[in-house]
Amino acid sequence: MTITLTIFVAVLAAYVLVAAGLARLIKNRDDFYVMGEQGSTLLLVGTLAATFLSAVTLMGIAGISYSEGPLVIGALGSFGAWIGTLIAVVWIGRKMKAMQCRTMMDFFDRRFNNKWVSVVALILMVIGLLGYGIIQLIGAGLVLAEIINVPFPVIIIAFTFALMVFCSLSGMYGVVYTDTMMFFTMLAIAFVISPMLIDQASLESMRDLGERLPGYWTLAGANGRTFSWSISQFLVWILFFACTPALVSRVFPAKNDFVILKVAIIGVFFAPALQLMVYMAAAAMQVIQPGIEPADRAMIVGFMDHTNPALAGLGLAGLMASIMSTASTLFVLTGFALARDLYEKLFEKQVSEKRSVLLGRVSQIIVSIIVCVIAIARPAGIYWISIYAGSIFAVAWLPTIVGAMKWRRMNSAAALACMLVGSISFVLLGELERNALITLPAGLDSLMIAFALGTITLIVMCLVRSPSRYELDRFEEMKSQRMSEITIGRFLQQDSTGATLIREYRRVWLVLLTVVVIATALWGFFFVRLGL
Amino acid sequence: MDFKPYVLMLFGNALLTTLISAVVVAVILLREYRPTIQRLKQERRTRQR
Repeated sequence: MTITLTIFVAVLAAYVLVAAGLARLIKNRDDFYVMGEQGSTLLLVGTLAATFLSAVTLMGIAGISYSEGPLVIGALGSFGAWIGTLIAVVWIGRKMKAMQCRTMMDFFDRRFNNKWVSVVALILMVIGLLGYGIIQLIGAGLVLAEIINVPFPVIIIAFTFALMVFCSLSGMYGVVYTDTMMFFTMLAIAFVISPMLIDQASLESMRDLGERLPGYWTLAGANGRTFSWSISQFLVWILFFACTPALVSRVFPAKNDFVILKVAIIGVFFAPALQLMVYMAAAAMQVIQPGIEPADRAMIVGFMDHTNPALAGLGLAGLMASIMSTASTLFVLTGFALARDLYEKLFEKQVSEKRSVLLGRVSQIIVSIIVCVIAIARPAGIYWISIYAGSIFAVAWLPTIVGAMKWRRMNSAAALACMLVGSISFVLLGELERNALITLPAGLDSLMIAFALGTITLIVMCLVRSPSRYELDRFEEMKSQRMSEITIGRFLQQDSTGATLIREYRRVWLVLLTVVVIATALWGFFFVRLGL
Repeated sequence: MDFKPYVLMLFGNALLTTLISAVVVAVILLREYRPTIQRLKQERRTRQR
């Protein structure tokens, strides 16, 4: 057995064993869906950062950084993703957590209590999660199959079997714990392997890349992309990340508000830290080995050919982690949607705690089988769906959620119209553009137009139609639900002197100051060495 | 010295992300927690006296 295959098997086995061991912690539906709300800062930072760093970063964007320069996506597109992540955690996720939501669908159900809104939101969620997840699994699985020389279907069966074990046996516990394990392999890529590659290339040689490849250290990059393209990347990524269920739902297992606030600081620090270190290493690869084709293999070539065998194995494990952590989150949420949001709530089935957990497990198995079959068959339709899948949350969900949280006049008709207009116009514009029937002005993306159309529809519907009594009551109730008050109440219940509350409060300040100092030192160092 | 403004943008934005998250969290701590923390501290001081 080759070393790469050994690593592949060992890493999968480790994840499966850990997830299987966690199954004993599942006693009721809250354990299965939100870890019994016992998520610590480490676990939630781990799962957030691991979900954030997908194979797109390690391959696609690393490839662009390698061939065109690290600033092309890193300077504005990724910046949008980091800010979007912050919004997802500290605003949308925190508010939904205060409303006691277990899934994002709970928000739509409680805020509107309208079956049509729930059905449309659910359909969009399943399409969005599965379409985005499967295509990532296929893309990265093909590369992995080539590296370890194992047939693609075997890779997919192994992955989906592992995902089935995580998700069905231990629900959110399995996903969060294995994500945290994966986070450490990603840290190794960012802070061990990447610095080694940067050191091999030397920062001086990297800085001189601008002479060999004009524009390499500019926003336009070596291929001279337009400024409007960079701006559109920023907007697309911020809209996409701000309300994607994969990130927002990371907040729901949090133990208390202090954990969420610490995750907002540490987790959001790791988003740029993990990404920029990879982009810099990709630039280093341009010095070490120019001419890698296709460019999205730059980091893999770096791991395999320019580090020692142990680090190459770690790099491979990190690549697997980037595929699996994103996929496990997307698939576990799809399973939750089928079991909890579709069967239990939309069909109004009253089920016991035990049966609810069983139902959750069965739906995870069904999702794994569907994913496996689609990924192996690779029907043309999945590629078509994937073009629109991930961004559907930005155009359909984001205006609806923001309106529902902030506007008293928000009503179910506006929510429904916004989701339909946003998603349909997005697909329609995309198809017209793809088939060269229309040409959008430079820097204007179909996502932005669809977002604007959905938002305008929402505003018009809110102005022409009044909210129901239920919707007004829920809005007032929602406004009064605050994570801080819930947390203060719980802490004082356990310790009426407030000593524990004061200690936790001080800890958040300490974390905040420490992370600001580390970020200033890290990014200041790189700027001084590369920018002056 | 060869100042590269775009490189400043790359690392500046990374730092800015941390600063924004720090400011947002600081505002939440000050607005939503500080009054209770101050009250608790005051109560503890009174009890100690």
